This record gives sequence, C-alpha cells and structure tokens, in this order.
Amino acid sequence: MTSQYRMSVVWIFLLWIIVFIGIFWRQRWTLPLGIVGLLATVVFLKMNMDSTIPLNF
Amino acid sequence: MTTQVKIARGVNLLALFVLLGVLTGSLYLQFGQGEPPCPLCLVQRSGMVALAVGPFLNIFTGIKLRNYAFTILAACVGGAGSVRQILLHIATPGDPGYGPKVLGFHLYTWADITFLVAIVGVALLLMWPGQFAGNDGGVLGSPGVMRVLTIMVAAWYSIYLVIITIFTFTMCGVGMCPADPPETDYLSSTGALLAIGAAGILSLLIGIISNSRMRRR
Repeated sequence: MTSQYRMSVVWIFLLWIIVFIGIFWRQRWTLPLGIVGLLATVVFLKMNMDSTIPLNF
Repeated sequence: MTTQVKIARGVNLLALFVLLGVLTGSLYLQFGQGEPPCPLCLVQRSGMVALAVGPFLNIFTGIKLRNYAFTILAACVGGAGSVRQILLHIATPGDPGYGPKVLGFHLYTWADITFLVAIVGVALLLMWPGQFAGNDGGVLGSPGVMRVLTIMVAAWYSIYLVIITIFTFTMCGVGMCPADPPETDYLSSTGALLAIGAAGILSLLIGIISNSRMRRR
C-alpha cells in the first residue's frame, strides 16, 4: 500500500463523520479524534504542495 | 443555567448557521454549477467541517475553553490551505485563479476570510468569562426552540458530510485527487437548490421530532 492510499482525503472525511458521531453521543474521545483529523488535514495539505511559491516578490 | 450561557449558546448556533451557509454555497457550486473541488479546496472544506466541531461541542456538551481552542486550531489548518491557494495564483503571472468568483472574490479568498473571522470571533468570545461561570450541561437537557434548531443544524451538517464523503470518494477514490478535476454536471441549478431545500426541510423535521420525543421521555 503506497502512502497516497494511506493518506487519502476520503479517510479524513470519514474521520470527521466519526467525530460528529462522537459529538452527538457526547463521547470523551471526540476532541482528541478531532485533533487527529486536523493533523491528517495538514499532512494531506503537505502532500499536495507539489510546487514552490517564490515568497521574495 | 445563566442568561450569559444562553447568549453564548446562541452565538455558537449562529456561527454554525454561517458555516452551514458557506458549505451550502460550495456544494451548490459543485452540484448546481458543475465546479468540482480541487485538492486544496478539499483541504479548506475539511477545515470548514473542523471549524464546526468546537461550536457543536459547546452546544452539546457545554461551553468550554478547550472547544474554543479547537476552533482556533481548525481555523489555522483551513487558513493554511486557503493562503497556499491564494499565493499559488498570485505567484503565477496572468493566472485567472481557480473556479468562479462570488462577489468579486474567489471561493478560496472567501474561505480565508471565514477562517480569519473565526479566529477573531473566538478571541473576542474568550474575553467573556461569564459564559463559563454557569454549570452548563449542554442544550439536550433543555427543551425548546434552541434544542430544535441545534438538532436541525446537526442533521443538516451530517447530511452534507455524508454527501461530501461519497462524492469525494467518487472523484478521488482512495488515492490522490486530480489536480484539476473535470467539470461534471450532477444537477441543474434549480435541482441543486431544490436538493438543498429538501435537506433543510428534512433536518427541520428531524429537529422537531427529536425534540418532542426527548420531551416525552
């Protein structure tokens, strides 16, 4: 399994669905899982940064 | 429960309706105008979904500092995606930008404004200690219009989240998403508006029925 399959945006949205279930059922793991979702989003963003932006303009 | 807690809940609910409006706009453009989201748009969409977690937790489990902290983190993550996209289009000379403009700005610019407003809004809310003083157990214990609206907006979000996940899967599968996805006509403009209206009415019904069932228990 390559890294792109391990880190697909579909998994991130599935994670958000689980987080929302946690909110509605008032589970204690909701917020930690939400932080995992944020970290996964950052990793997905990094994977899509495939071109450099010159910031010396 | 103090009046200040009630007002804070109202502010959080209002924020959820605003975020719902933003998601509605992006889904309307996707399904009604045939504008599929790019990978960076999906990062911002994920940030927008995450932005709703804090207000939902505040309303469902009680107003807490950590929920506001999570909202700031979510705004930073989503904002990183939108700033990256804005800079990409600025850095390329003659680049017309991605997707249509709404009121003169591209959607990623509006997303960045939304994330910035969220950070400023939460910072202002954190200056108000009165909302944390009451013994707030969440809205589910108190019947009324607020509970109906909360369940309604929660149902509406859930419907959107399932739709986003299904259509992201059809577009990207379980791999990387296409950098420039082709335009796809799922619905007509009227059809998309009708679908959004139907989701709203269904959510309102879920809110009313759930509220009355909780009252009977």
